[in-house]
Amino acid sequence: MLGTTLKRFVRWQILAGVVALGSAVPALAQFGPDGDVRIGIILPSVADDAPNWQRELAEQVEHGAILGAEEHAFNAELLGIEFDVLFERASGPEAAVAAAQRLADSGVLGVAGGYSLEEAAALGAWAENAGLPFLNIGTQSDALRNDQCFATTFHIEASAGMYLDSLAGWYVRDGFRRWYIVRSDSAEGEDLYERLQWSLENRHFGVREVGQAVLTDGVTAEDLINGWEDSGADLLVLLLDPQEQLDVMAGLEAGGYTGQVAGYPYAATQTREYFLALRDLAPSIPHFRAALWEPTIDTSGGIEFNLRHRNRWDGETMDGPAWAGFHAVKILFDSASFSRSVDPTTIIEYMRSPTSVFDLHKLLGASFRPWNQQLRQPLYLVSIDPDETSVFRLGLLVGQLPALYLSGTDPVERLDQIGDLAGDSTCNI
Amino acid sequence: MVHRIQPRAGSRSKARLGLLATTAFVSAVALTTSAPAQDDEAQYLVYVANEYNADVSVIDPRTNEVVQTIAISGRPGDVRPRGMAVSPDGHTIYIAVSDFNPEFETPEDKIVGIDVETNEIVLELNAGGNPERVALTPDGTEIWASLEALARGAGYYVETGEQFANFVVGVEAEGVAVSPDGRWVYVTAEATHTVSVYDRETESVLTHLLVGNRPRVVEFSPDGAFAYVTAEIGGTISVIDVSTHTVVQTVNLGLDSRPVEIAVDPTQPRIFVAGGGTSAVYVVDVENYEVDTVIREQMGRRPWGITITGDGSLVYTANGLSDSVSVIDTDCLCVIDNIVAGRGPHSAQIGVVPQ
Repeated sequence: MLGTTLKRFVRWQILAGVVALGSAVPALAQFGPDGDVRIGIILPSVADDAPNWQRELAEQVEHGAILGAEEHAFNAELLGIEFDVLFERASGPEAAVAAAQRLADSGVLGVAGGYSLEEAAALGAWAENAGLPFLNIGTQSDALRNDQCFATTFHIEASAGMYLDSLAGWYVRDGFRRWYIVRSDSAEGEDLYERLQWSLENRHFGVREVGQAVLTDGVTAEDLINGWEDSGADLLVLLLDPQEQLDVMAGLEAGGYTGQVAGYPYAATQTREYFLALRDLAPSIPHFRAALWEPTIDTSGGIEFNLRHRNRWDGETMDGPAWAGFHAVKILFDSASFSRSVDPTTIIEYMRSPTSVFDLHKLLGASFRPWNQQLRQPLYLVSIDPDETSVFRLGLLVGQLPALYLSGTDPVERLDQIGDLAGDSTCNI
Repeated sequence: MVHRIQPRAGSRSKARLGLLATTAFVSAVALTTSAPAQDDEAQYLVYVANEYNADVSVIDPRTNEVVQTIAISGRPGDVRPRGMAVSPDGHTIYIAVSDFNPEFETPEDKIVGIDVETNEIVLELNAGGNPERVALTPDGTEIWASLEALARGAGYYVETGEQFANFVVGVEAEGVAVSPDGRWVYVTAEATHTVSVYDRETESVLTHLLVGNRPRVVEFSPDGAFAYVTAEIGGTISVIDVSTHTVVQTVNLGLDSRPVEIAVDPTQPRIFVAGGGTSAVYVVDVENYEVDTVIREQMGRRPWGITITGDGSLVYTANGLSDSVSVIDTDCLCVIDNIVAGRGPHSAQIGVVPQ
């Protein structure tokens, strides 16, 4: 256990150096939940020799969650609320559950974490049994939103279906209609492939799958290029894990491939660090990536929010995983403060309520879908600049789905255009 | 374009004066702009802060055309004029200007004052920390600002530019208003969902109170009894009883209402609320706390700023996505004109031309 309550070493560097609330202690405090607001965050535990992208993912989640803890410590002090964020580090389902139990023993009102299907499912089962909300911030698997869903699990990370529907929407609209799909030789690769096929059959009818391959041992980039050329495809879709995507991109570059590639956006592939690696390995290939968040967003407080993160972390951008870490803290804190309760059952009810909305810096108030407790939210398409030297400006925001800038329609209708909707869900909460 | 009109005579001035007489400080803006319009000389001008052009459009309400553009900075995009306020006599327009490029060596975070008679910048005071909105005390001697990047509220003397007060508010400070009796400064914070209450008498923060999700703007009722706070994400207006600093009513405009700025009608118990992302203006009855009318037809895109003439006859909205200003007749509650402004209109204010 990291053990220490973060509050002890909060450094509110953004706010003119120091939190000086001497004169600002509420004299007429009209609000305060009954007891301490205490939140538990389980961070990924990464081996020292892990690849850069894996360590970057862990650091992003940690930095986002710490910023969330600091900001909400500040908010709590304004409102006269006792507030703590407790951190644990764990890897694997057993370790994650043990960490969650330690957090529960410390009195947290909710836990966030989950960086693989196994880990998130184990935490979901544990949380349901413990009667605590579990916020999934790192796992996209649709299984968690369907057959393996749990009553007290809430998904801040977008689902695989949401990402795949968005990718289909963007590429179809841009005229890419003949897809060659490469998937990992794994159950997860198979799941992604089936979900993408469903999307093409049910929502994006303009696309034809003209070829496919499974990345088994012995399959080379040259094989993929040949398959792509023989099929007459105009888009190569890589449903591969982060390391496989890097390896394949390097092979494609070496093989002279210069066509369009759509890589599946695992959380670890949404960081500037990963974008740089992709660009360095395959400078001749155009790169567009889907993301949960983009550091150059400048609407709805996004510019200030991104800037606070960069100021706090010495110029580091707030990428998707950091955004998820921050909002795990925010959603639990706001649920407690608006429901005026620290009772986990009340918090769960608040989060489930269709009238509860959360401010995610994404333009609209977001709510959780009642059928699988997936957070409604837009996703972003980012173009990687081949020549940019600034890490911040490396990505350029080029798309958003659903497109929220269109005014005058119901926000829930707008956001329920991607992912598994009520009629498609097999979750039985 | 619908049609052009001349500003109307102040047919409602009696009722308005009755309201104002109950307050300790009488707004000269309301008095002056209610006078009948002259044919040869504008009684008032409409000022529009163009966030992405780094300038201010000046509109003559007799022709509904931009008659002058006042440059605020040579760095459009980075330096953004946003919230506005007007001096009690109506003769000076104040604009909060934020510098969004933190690497720049000479940041232009500042508050700018424009003389309505000459349309020249007559005041420029340093206000570091991304000032987003400003408000004036009823006697016009102090400017109060929300400093968004610092989560602070601050007070400045108009005459010297000296900052004499600086206090903690919530994260992403935005709205600021001074009560008509001059006692209270209310500051909203978008990310903390709070209103901070600063007591000018004791020179300290009295309390921070939770309101709706992502509060943007706060305005006081003319008699100072209530304050109205828009919550953009919550789609609500919190009504605060100023005598207790507690939320006593919440008006629900709907989740997709996205309310931002408020114009308080000086003649009737109603407020006009700019429905930002919905391209609508909500007319809210603040006696019964009900939405009376939603004005959508002919509205510009993303009305963010909103202001009302002293006689309550016309409302102007600053429309950020259509680079325009919509003119609303408050009798028909309909848009009667749309005026091309600069890029990204954020706020609008009415300046009274000295006679």
